[in-house]
Amino acid sequence: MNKLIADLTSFFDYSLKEPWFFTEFSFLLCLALFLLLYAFFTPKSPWKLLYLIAFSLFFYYKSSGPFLLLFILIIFCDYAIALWINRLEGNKRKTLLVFAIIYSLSFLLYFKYSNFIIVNLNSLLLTKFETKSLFLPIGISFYTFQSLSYIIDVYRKEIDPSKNILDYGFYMTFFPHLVAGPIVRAKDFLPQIQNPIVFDHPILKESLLRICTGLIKKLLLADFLGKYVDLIHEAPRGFTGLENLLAMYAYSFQIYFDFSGYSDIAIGIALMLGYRMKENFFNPYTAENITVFWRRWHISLSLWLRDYIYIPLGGNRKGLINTYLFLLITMLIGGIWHGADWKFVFWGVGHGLFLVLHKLLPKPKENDRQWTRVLGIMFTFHVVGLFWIFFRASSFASAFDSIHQVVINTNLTELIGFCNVRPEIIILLFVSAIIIFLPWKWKEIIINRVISLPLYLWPIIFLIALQLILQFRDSTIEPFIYFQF
Amino acid sequence: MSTELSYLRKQMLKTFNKSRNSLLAGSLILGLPIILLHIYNYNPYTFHILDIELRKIKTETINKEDLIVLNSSKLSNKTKKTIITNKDKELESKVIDVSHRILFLGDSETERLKYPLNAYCEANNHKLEAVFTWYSATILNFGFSKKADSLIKKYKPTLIVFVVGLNELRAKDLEKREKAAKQFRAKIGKTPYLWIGPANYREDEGINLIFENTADEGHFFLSKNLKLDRASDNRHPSKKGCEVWMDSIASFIRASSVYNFKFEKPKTTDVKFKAKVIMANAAKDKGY
Repeated sequence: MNKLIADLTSFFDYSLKEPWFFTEFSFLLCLALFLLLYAFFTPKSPWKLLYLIAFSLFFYYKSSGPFLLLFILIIFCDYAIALWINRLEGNKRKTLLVFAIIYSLSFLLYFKYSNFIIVNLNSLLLTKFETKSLFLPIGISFYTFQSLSYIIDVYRKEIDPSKNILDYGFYMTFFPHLVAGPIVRAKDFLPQIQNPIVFDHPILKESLLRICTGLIKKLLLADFLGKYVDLIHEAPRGFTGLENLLAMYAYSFQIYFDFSGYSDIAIGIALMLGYRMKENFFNPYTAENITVFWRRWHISLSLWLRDYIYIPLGGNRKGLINTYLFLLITMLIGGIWHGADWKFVFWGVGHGLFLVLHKLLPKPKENDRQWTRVLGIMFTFHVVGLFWIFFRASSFASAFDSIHQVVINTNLTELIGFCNVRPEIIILLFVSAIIIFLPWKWKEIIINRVISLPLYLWPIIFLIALQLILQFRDSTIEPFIYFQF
Repeated sequence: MSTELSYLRKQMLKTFNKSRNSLLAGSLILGLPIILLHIYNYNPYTFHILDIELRKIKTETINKEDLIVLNSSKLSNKTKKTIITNKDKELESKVIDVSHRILFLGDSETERLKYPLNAYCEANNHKLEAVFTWYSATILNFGFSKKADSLIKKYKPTLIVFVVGLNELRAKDLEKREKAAKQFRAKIGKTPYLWIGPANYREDEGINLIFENTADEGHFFLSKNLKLDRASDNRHPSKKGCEVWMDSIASFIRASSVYNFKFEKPKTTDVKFKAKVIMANAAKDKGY
């Protein structure tokens, strides 16, 4: 009993080191209790919005503590700026937009990039500015992009500014997308506030399936693969080429399961609350080229970069060379958005170069489609996997060590020994590959079969899934990879 | 007009009721399994299916009390005695400029520990000949199988470093393990050795005591009191943890009269790894 009371008391504490994830069982229980009351609000009731905002703010407080105040301040300022922009015309309107963009980015620059800038300035100018120990408020990269898109859309007159702070606050704080996306656009989301979807049993099953698959992807597959990846990347030189190669595959699968698992849970929860968020992943590793890959991977970020960076720069309207240059700049920004480190810059520019290269190459003939498609999928997957090494490695040196081992020291005959020592990794990689490369049509058939199961079976499905997760997981849950961005 | 309005109102009410019922069902479907799992969590009983224990939500949570801080008062008497005696002897004993050929044996703990050990070997003119990593192994595997014998015979090391025990912290069949430890000690024979105790992530049921009593005086390094950074599995020490662990082992070696060879801290841990690595999995091949 004392244990229960102690657990309940500590529940209201926040922890900057251990944010409250969707994958915490305490969160899922809290969500169930939250829904119990949520069910009694009428669809357009302002109390429903207030109730949701309050829960979202509590969710953010659990992960970011005092930074909640900063977040609220940003919401109020954005709301006021958007209204102000809407009233102005001409140069004044433009000036205010520039101010709003600088102001919005300043928080991100300070918390995420100031130490990176200081370190690089020190090494360039031989200065001795001191770095600061800064906590990166959770979700800041995501909500900064959301607020920017809102202000820019108002400036472009693509949307009217929200007349009600509750609506805008709800859009920004909506907890399913608050900390790690998908990056939701105001023009997609705000209209839903007045017209939420009608929640019925088929939608309930769809949302439950999304939550369930998200949990399995994250807790069962990604976390397990992550342990092997962590081991290899601690000292890549101490492992064989084959082990490094398998770590590359494992990380490619891990990051997909981790982030798409998060997106699945977020989309599932949003659906339960009556709001539909756009898909963030669509079988990305079955893309036959890098351009298609970026249409299917982290779709909300790709579209954001396209609409707010690539197209305003000039897109493909200013000649071929400029098009390629704009593409590189866009991918560079996309890279550095992921983290304040040169390896992310390298990762972004690398992807940018491959996008340019793909645009330069002639398109395959219709007759060759079948085999070029298979080759294209394999090639694209390996190029993406190669760049993931830089994304995951602790440093450039470590990434090059890993690649060196793969290129120089890979001996496929060692696979038998590897299967003997780490059979669980082989099984997991095999299962992951099947899930990832299964054609979408087949996945749809499976999804429809599961959704057609009667509702009374769902608590049992959930119980089995959760117990399975418990059987395989360790004491701590790894944070979502995209939490840190 | 009023009929139309009344019809619309009825439709809206119907939709609202439908939506509310679905949400309540969703709340129940999400909540019920978690409530059941929490009830199971706070219940002292554990259930089994086909001999597999159904794990609880917080079963594996490591309590803060289990994280043991390095504290000399917590070192075992035997280790303390060795260190104190050897501190006295430190001035008397002379470090011999000897180059050892080292065989490193053990469970999965060897996987990360081999790198700082290799760095120490390189810096002090020793050669790490081979590393035998036996995943999931316990002292039973090393004691009752012939693996250790054949490796010792093959590599003829001048020093054996041995670490085991992480997979048997919960073991209660201590008599059997004591027998295995003694058999392993017999296999080592007269070859100089260093027996490293497991890097406990929780309190053990007595396995450290068995190892300590089996090893000759001054040959056992008790690791359980070290506070080490852990890898993502929260059990094995991480790369950083292993470096700290190795530094502690090296301090023990330097302070001991049993080991009179050079073992200074290397300037860098980024050293090329050249030793032969042999791997086996006790889950598939227990060896006896």
